Amino acid sequence: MKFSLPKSKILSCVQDVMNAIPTRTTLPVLSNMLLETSNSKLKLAATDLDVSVMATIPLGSTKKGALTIPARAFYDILRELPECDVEIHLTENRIELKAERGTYKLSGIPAEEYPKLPIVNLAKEIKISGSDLGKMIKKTIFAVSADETRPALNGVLWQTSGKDMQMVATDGHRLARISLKNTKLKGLHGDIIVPPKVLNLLIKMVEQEDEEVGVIFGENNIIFNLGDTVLASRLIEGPYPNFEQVIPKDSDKKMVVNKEFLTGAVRRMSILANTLTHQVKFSLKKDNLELSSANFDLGGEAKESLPCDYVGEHLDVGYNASYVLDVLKQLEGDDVVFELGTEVSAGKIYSMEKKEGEDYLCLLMPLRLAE
Amino acid sequence: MIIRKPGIYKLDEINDYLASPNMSNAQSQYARKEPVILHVDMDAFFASVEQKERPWLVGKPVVVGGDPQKRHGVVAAASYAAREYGIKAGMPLLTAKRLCPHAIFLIGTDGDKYEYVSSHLLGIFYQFTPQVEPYSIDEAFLDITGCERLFGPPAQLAKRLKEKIKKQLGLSCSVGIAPNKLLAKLASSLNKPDGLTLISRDKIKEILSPLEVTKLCGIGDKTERVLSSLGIHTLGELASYPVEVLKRKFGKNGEWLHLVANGIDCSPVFSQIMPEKSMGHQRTLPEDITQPEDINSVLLALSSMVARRLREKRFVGRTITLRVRYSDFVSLTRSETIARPTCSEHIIFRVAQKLGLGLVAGIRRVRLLGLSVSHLTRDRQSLQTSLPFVEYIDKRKRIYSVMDRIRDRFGEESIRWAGATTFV
Repeated sequence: MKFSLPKSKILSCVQDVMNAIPTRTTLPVLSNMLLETSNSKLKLAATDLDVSVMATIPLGSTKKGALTIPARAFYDILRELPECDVEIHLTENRIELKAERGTYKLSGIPAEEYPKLPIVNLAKEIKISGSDLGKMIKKTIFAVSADETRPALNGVLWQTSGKDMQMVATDGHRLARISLKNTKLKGLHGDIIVPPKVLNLLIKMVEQEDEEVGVIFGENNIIFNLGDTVLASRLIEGPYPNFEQVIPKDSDKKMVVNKEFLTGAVRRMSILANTLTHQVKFSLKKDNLELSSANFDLGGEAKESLPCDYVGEHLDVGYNASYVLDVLKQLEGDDVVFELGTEVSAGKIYSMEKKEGEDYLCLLMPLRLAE
Repeated sequence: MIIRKPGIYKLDEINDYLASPNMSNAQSQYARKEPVILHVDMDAFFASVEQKERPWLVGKPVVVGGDPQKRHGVVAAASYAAREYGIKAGMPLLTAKRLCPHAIFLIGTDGDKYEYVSSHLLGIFYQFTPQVEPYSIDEAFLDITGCERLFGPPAQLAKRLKEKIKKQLGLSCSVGIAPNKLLAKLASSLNKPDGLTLISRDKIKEILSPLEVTKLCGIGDKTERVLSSLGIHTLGELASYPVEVLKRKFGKNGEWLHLVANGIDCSPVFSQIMPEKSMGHQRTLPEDITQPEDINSVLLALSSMVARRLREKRFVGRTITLRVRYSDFVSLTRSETIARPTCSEHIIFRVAQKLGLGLVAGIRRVRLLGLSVSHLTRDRQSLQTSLPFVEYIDKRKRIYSVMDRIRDRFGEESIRWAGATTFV
């Protein structure tokens, strides 16, 4: 079949779909992109068997047809073309692109050899605010574990219960949890563990603040419907560990400190911190936080004092500077609260500023201070 | 290798240096201070330690050897009385027995004892200088440049060092003093036992010239054979031999041969403990094995030993290498790199087992197995604490730490995995 589309239109869809093309694969057909025409629509799709991306572009009427073509080459050709109308001609095993003065031909693999893509069942779709979703993902995804020995921790736990929604991620050393009330998820109950890849794609694609995202919770997959583009991902099998039990009860060792000051100081400490541990030492005394780090390879030492609100007893605790910065980056408001226990127990970190219907909390495990 | 290979100096520079009328003056261009290097070599170390422990052995031909039962049947050390019969280290025990049937053979003695004496020795060396490079269990290089003010001239320091070792350990040693490591090692070997030899810069040529080429550390039988085919037998002949011909014959080593024959060596005394690149253990088995379960039981024991050493030094490693030597002495190695660095014997064992499948399956008889872990990094996980998830309590980690503590207190063989073989 034949059809014609402006270059920019088709390129932006191809770009989205490219995200699902695996960089390395043992199954050659996976480095191809599926092109399918039916019902006056062009469908582009790719999958790495975990994550699939599907995009549709409306067309004038055209014949039914399907082919998979080498994705990278297809994308590179489109990218290098000047802005113009591109005429695409799909045959049984070849694609031909005609643009201005040029013709480009590529061999494909029959569509029958392409893996089955998830079916989008719109009847089960639930609408969620894109900005809520994006916020929850951003505030938790940094804590997802990369350690493959604990598969459940390789994703974000997404809990829905009535109107409440919660996301949790942890790698065993830190944990982030965000809960939102009064979301539009009515009467839905369940826990799913979503791999970070699809969530990262989602935040990249949900650009407009007030855009709504359709979500379809499947048996072992999840589908995000963004209108023209649909993302799907397999889910990670649980159970997720009981994270509630590792959240410490309220502590009296509470420190309140200015977020900007602390961020700047920790960044400076990390320059001279041990390159392996990134250790920054927090020395808490009455209303004074002293930060210090040392790197013996450089013969470097750094120290900085910050004013803070603190009334508990003297406490020395070490943290990985990059873990601290990851958390500070996500906290809102001017001041942050550190609720501490001992030098080897979890520190609870949250923003001083409370938002209606939102609860965000991070846990950070200390580094043992080397003598 | 103690002697730095060529490439440090340009050859032209060296030739100019050798041609200069006063070599010690020329030297000052290269080094601000004349280096003074000591090489300390214990006399018949293993045998002397045994004699110290059992005084009735003193003066008798004593041979310390590996256990033939475990097939380590070679001479590890021979006392001087035994050497008079021609017994040398490295010789099969059977040959030694033939040379001197009435010698006292001490077989399968306690290796830990020697380690202990060796570490004590090191302690004595450090009382003189921090620049100590242990070279083997009973040898070390000491850089004593600039120690004159504290201990007097080098020879006096060496005498005090020898006295101290004699007094504290009851052992004698031979010491060589020279401007570099190459010559110091040579010097200590010239007057054994209980020697003290100094090679000063102006005597280098005189001392080296008449010596056989193999006297120098680094020139072995193979090189000797090639040299003698060129008509070179002494170091003097080697020193004056055209370097171009040597280079053609030996490649890069030709240049090196030319340098060492002239007594030139620029390698520093490595006093720092070098960061370890790999850790491993290997064992010659008491008898050849073929059964997978026997092999696995050895691999588990080796895994456990390697893992314990990693944990002790707070390292984790990613590459696991298995070495197999078959009964026909053919050796093979296979390695695999895993995603996450580890110090767990279970993970090491699992990989070793997998590697072993490819190497030992079938009918070939296995004589030796070795296991090492490389790609080492510092274990950061041991410093970073973890959230107390009940689901993820690491039982194995706890077991390892308990086992390590038991071994610290009661010895390495006090506890082992039920499936692991024992090497005792």
